[in-house]
Amino acid sequence: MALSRRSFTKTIGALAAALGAGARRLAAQARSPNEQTPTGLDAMLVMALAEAVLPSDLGRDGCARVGRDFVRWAISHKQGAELLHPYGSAAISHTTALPLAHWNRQLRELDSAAREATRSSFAALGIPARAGLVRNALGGERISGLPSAAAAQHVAIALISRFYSSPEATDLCYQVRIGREQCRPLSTVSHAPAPTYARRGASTR
Amino acid sequence: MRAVESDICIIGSGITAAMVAARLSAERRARIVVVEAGAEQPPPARFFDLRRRYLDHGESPWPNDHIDGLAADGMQSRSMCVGGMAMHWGGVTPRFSPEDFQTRSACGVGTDWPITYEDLDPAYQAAEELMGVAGEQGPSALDPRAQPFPLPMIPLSYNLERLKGWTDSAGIATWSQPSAKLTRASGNRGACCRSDTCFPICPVGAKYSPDMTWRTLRDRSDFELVPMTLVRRLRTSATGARIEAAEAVDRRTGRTVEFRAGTFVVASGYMWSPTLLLWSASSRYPNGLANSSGLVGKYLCGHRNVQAFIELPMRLFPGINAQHSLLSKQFMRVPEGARYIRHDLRVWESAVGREPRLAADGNLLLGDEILRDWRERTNASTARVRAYYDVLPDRESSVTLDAGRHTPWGDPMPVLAWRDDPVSRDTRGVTEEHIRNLFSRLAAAGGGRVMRSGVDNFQDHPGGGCRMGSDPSTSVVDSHGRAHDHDNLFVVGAPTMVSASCANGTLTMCALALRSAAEIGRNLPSRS
Repeated sequence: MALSRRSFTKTIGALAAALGAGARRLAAQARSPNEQTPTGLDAMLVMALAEAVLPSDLGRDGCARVGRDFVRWAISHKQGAELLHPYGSAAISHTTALPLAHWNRQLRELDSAAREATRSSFAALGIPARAGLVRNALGGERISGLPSAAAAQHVAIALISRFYSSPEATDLCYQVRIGREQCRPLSTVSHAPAPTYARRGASTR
Repeated sequence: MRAVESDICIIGSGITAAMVAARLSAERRARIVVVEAGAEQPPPARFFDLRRRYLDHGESPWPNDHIDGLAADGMQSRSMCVGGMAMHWGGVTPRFSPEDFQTRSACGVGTDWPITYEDLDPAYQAAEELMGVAGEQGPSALDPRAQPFPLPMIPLSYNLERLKGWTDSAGIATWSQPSAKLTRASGNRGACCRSDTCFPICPVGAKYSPDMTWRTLRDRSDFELVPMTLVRRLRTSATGARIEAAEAVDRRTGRTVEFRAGTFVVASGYMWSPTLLLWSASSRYPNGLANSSGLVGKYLCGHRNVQAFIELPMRLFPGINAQHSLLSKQFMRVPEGARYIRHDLRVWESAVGREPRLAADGNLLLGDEILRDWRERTNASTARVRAYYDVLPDRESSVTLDAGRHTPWGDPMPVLAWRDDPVSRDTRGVTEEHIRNLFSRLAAAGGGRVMRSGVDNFQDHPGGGCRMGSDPSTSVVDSHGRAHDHDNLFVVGAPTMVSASCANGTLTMCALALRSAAEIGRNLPSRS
């Protein structure tokens, strides 16, 4: 029998209470559990993944925001758009499609692995357990620098890359408000950037 | 066939065309028609969105700024659109040095220009005022100018202040790179807000780009810009002394359009300008127009660069104003009796070597580990240093026509060949070694190390192909860009350059174009 949206959310909420705070928060944040975006990405799994692979300084709200940004970014990606010409080259190249089918499969595999190991969903696991599953999943990847998010072969790397290329990540790293790529007054350019303070979930975006 | 009549027909709509049109429209009563082979580009209302898509997805803010089928071998950029390549330039505007115009008489190499730095100074100033250049006066012996910069300098960022302290300690004078970026809002243009995307798109109009000039001029009844129309041939009068028409094809309809004018101005850049003259060969001029010297397409010029990334034991914060740099002209003057080695020097903040990474020592990093690893690597910083060095052009550094390859309209494609003159060929190794040694000295002065260095093999800021000179047997145009062979034909900007110095060339191309405009307008009625 199909559940109504309200009763489905209520059921998931009850389940979340039994499984832990992470799942409670995720159930509350998802507009509906396992919401499929136009990319096919499962928004709740993306947010659960964000908590596992992004820095804890972001806090839960920050991870959720980065997860939503990632989904929005994937939705706005266009295949076949002309890329910026490389400097000093006449080459013209175009964007390719995101490997969404791979990324969706990888999200489902993380969830399946969680259920096999613990009988809980990936989102319901604690963060260390989720990170462990991601480590296992990335075991076969040849890891070095961060590829561009669009070129990442694994959804976890795409999410990490998307976050770490952001001005917010730079500010988080340097613990000052640089505000890279943001319009801000020229008059303050000579000052050292003001320090940020370690507030969980703080955002400069 | 459509016919378009004007007093002045400008072929090309890039930055030098904009200079000529702006100057003539301001000072003379004349009907001006600009013919552009490429398409219109997006309006400013879309710039923020285009910039966002560039940042998020790497998309070009200027899609379709080129024409399929016109990719020549050896070319560096395919930009062919309303506004030309300067729709995505970095806005960097150093002047050349006085020595650039007199390399033969001062250093015994290359070819002297028919004008001196002092001759060009008023046009430099005019170009700086037209574009809105913000700059800092460098040491007057190295950086002479008759009048102050139009706008206050772009202030040095916290990072550049610290890097300036470093270059000072190495005995190298550096100052704020002059740039065509407003430091005060003016008209429809905002002040620079250091959004870090000057290249490829300034969202607020602080950086000058030719579309600004075209938007202003298009409101006038005596001005017309005709896009999507490729000029294929210039046709001479019966005597051959004058150009009477430019024959073109409307790329939308395939129909022929003929432009008739009192004066023709070829402002089509270093490659397409000589190509058009070569395409215009006739029984009277079998080697192409303006080519009695045989030098149309010859003496292409540019400069190469050596760059390095230097690790320094100081804490910088990359991203404060990432595209702005320090500049030094200290090495643009060859000491008396020394070998001919000339270069500029620029210094930027950089994040190279300090980016976040996914693995350390072969171990995958996740969560807090990535951030911790990244933070540990930001206690030291990176400076990017780059030196453009002089490459004297050889006669056979050239644009020629390839009879085996044709444009979609049946004309032979140009092909580029780059050759250093023998002096530059002989000194290339020692020049690059000299620059690397300088970078090592700089690194040592700061207690740092050179992380890596490299050479860009292409010749940047290309020019030449219709070089200027006083002698019609050794040049194509005079010092105003007027063809020696046809008195109503001008070639302006980059193609007229004798050499390309060792600094970004756009301001010099603009100054030359404004100097040409003064001559073009001399016999036209004044607006005042």
